[in-house]
Amino acid sequence: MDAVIFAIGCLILIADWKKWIPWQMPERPRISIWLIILVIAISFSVLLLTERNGWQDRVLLLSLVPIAFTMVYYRDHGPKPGSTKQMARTKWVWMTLALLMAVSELFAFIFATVYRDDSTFPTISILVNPVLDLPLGRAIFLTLWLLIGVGLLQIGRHRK
Amino acid sequence: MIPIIEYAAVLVLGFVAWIMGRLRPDVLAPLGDLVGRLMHHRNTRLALVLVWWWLGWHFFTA
Repeated sequence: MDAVIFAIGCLILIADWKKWIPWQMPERPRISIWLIILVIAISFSVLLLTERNGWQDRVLLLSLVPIAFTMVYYRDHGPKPGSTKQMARTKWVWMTLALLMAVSELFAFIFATVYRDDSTFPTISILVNPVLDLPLGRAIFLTLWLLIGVGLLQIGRHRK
Repeated sequence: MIPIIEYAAVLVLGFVAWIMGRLRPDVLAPLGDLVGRLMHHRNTRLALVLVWWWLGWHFFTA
């Protein structure tokens, strides 16, 4: 399933890059802050209160796809800011950390599969799943996940 | 056990990088500035939001 998700994501990126998507590029949407708060509240409630891996979670997460897509798929405006030495360094530092995490997870997955031992070689999911089964753990994860989403979608920017 | 040490090391290094960005922006730019810069481009906006959404999907439906 993960491979399908990322394959679709790659296809969208390539289609956008090659301008295969025929529709006119929209302007950045202006969405009411109250609507956003409502979506966040519904997402939090459903993902926290319903059974994990239930149909409600699937429906909710699938319904977030068009909302998130609409909020990030818009025409870029103006010149891009020039790169500074600090910014270039920062990019490399965070990219290296992301790669280290990905490689660690990959090797844990390979060793866990080869030796059939995911307690000695746990992937991140193996470690996080028991925490998510607890209401408090799920609430903390949800809060972090939604905050990251709000930050990434830059909700609140250009509203002044 | 080794993977746990690796994950913990990356998390600690990430925390140090985040703190460095707050305390010494002349050395490392704050994480918020980096994200803001990446989000200037439509392709990186799409890619980052896809990864964010997948995290939710992976942990709540897998």
